[in-house]
Amino acid sequence: MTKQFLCEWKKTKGKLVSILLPVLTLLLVWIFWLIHDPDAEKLQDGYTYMTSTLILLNCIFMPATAAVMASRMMDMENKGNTYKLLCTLQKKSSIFACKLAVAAAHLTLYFAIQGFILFLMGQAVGLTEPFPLRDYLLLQGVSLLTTVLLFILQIFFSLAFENQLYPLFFGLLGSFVGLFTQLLSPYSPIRYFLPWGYFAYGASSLMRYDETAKTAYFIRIPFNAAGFAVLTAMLLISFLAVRGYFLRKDV
Amino acid sequence: MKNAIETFTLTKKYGKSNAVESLNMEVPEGSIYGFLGPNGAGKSTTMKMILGLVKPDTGSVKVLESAVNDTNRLEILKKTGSLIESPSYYGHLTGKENLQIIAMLKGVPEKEIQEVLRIVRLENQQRKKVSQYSLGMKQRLGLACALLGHPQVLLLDEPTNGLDPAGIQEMRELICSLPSKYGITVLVSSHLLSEIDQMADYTGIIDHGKMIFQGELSQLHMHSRKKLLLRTQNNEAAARILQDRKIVCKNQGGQLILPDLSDDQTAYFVSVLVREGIGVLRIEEQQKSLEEIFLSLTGKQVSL
Repeated sequence: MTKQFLCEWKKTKGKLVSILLPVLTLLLVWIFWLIHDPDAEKLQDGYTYMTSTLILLNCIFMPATAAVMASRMMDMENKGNTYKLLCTLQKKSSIFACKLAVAAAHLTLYFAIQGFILFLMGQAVGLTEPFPLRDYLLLQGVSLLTTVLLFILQIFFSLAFENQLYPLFFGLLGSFVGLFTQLLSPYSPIRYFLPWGYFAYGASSLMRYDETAKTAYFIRIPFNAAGFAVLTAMLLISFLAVRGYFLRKDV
Repeated sequence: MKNAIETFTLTKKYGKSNAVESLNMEVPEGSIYGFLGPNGAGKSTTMKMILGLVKPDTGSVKVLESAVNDTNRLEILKKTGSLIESPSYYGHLTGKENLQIIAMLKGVPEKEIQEVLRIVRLENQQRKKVSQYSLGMKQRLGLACALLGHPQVLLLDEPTNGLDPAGIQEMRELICSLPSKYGITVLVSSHLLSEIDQMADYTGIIDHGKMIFQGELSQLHMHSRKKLLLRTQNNEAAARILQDRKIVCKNQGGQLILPDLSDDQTAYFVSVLVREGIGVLRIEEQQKSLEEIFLSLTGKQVSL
């Protein structure tokens, strides 16, 4: 399995990095622009402010990013008619598992680097709020699982449609849906049916607006265990369903 | 003689139609077996079933004397190489990187890559992206992938498809050299008799999923007997004269069709006709076309 994973990694040859790196740069520049000149409030709860912004940006960018990643990984096999060769060398189930593992490994690195740079960024601008490690670990963990889930769904679209424009269209649509979910309450049951908005289940705080004082402030919220359970269940169901679809598909 | 590949009543249905029906194939070890049939006859499906890419409805497959099943399939296939329909490649990688991936999956040492590149004559293009390769180069790369790991059996499905005449010639020479140089048994499919004729020792002909002929190529040649076509100034009179001398002939389409005769016999009947005052306008030798061989084997016309 290790050599098959390494082969899959070699096959991507920077294809996934070339997608993730610009997204990471864009998000970090965006967040840096928001906090680069902090006032007293931002200095006090700057890291919390960054997490809430990050959830919103993830909802906008990650569905489309997952779509492009899945499309590239599946398209290189389709374009080169490689399945009929690969299936004589490895089990079909291992092809699927390796694709998922390589994508998940890239995304793990992506979210780890993102979290680390956000920490450094906060230090650089002199945020006084202590770095909320637990909140960041939860947020990045949930974001990782959500993006993996979206990646699996996009694999299904990439397999189901020969024209790879359709999966990309679904990815973009997902970004809009993700954005829409931000308007819903974090505990709204409608969210359960919209995986593009699951990023919010990693939130540890909510932004509130004080009408009288004309200021925004944050309140702490407990970890959304029900939302996380739905995310995990969806991940498992999608994995089994899309894997089954992949295995049944003719070479 | 041992068989490198054997299939036993192999059957595959797609919907209601039989893609392959009770197919028994025997590919002798060390031979080049030409698998011949029109497009859609079931050649690719059969080869895919041998490789386990398509599950047969009934029947079984033996490769190198081992019955192939889900458990041992990949282990057995390690001793084989294949090129099915079109070459498999990653266009964004170089030729060498493509081979490195296949070598890694086959568990073959990297030093073999240079050897197969040399065999398929791609050493000078190994650092070029495969998306920039011509179709012929992609086919050769596909063959190089198949040759990695010193396979004992090679399955090549229409390997000359889409190649220009020079590419076809090159690929043919390459395939022909494999049994003698490397001891590889080759199962090669084509819809062109001339192609198989120039490469194979054994042949199997498939039509509508059924094997209608299997044997040595020389046996097939017996079905493709030559005939002589003769045009004279008076075909009817000429036919009478020839039949008087026990030469069977048929007057058809303004010419006489005679069986293949020796040079002496031909010289004799031409002189007889001239002596009888019948001018010989044209005489030519004609080999039975594949369509006609097919007709004689199956009793029906087919377009190949």
